[in-house]
Amino acid sequence: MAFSSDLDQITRAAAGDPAAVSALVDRYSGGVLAVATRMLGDVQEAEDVTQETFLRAWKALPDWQPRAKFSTWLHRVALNLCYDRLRKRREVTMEHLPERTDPALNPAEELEQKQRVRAVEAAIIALPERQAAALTLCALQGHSQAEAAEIMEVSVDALESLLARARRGLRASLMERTGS
Amino acid sequence: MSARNITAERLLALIETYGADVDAYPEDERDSARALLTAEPQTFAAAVEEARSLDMLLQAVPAVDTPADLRARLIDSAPKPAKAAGRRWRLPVWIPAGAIASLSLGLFAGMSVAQTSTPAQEDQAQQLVYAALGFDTYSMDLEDEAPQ
Repeated sequence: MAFSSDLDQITRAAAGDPAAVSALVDRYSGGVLAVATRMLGDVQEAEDVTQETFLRAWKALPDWQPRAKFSTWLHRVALNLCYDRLRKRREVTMEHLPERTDPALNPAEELEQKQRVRAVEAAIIALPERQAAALTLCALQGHSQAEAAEIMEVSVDALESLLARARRGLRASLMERTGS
Repeated sequence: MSARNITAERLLALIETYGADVDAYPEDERDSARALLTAEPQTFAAAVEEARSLDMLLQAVPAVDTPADLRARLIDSAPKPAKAAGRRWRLPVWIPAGAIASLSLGLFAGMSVAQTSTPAQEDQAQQLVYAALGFDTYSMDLEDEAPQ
């Protein structure tokens, strides 16, 4: 369903139809930005990656061949851009992660929640990049095993191995941080 | 998709890989996983509990929304409609129309003058051209060129 709808919108977006362009941005920019944010831990860099990903998409639209889902292709481009940036900087800081507040929580709970979330975000970024990507795609973004494997260009078995190691690493890292 | 029977070892691997929520498992293994968890809850209790605590931490990570300014930049960087893009480089309609009108008027005026000129006027005009080109006189050049 989404596949054929994508094709129609891609054709119209390539011709410059503003409604189709907006629909593609609204459908996919959040997912791309989320993957980049989880992988890079830097809001500005994640936005840059998202913009670069969409620029490449717009260039590719006129010659688009529906061999893969547009979503898969888009996430793969974003992931590769993240890998490039991570290779350029091995040391990651968490200073620029966005502040988020939940109005349902009281200040003490909110602080505790914020600390927990930041610890998880930091632990994900500290994982080896392919493990972080697998975990982000499946556990945070809700991609199916097949989709995530296709985005990462690995087999489902390899994806499972990455996911299992990611969860083990995450648990160990969080236990180390909390001292429990 | 046909259901696949799984072993206790495979179920432990699924819990370790995907967490405590059976809905996150590969589709063809969900039914068997549920059946095994129901049949032998104690065997998997510790693994499920450990996985669930990590699942809860992951679920607490908030979703990322696209900020309005980024959305605007993404849309702005997209291809523009072909018509609008072409028109950007096209001259306004009145410029070629004006040029054609001027050319027609000039041709008409030129032809009108040529038709009304006399042989004496033409001779005078030719002398002026010769003088402008640096020759002394039109008549002298003609005499020099005349056969002896």
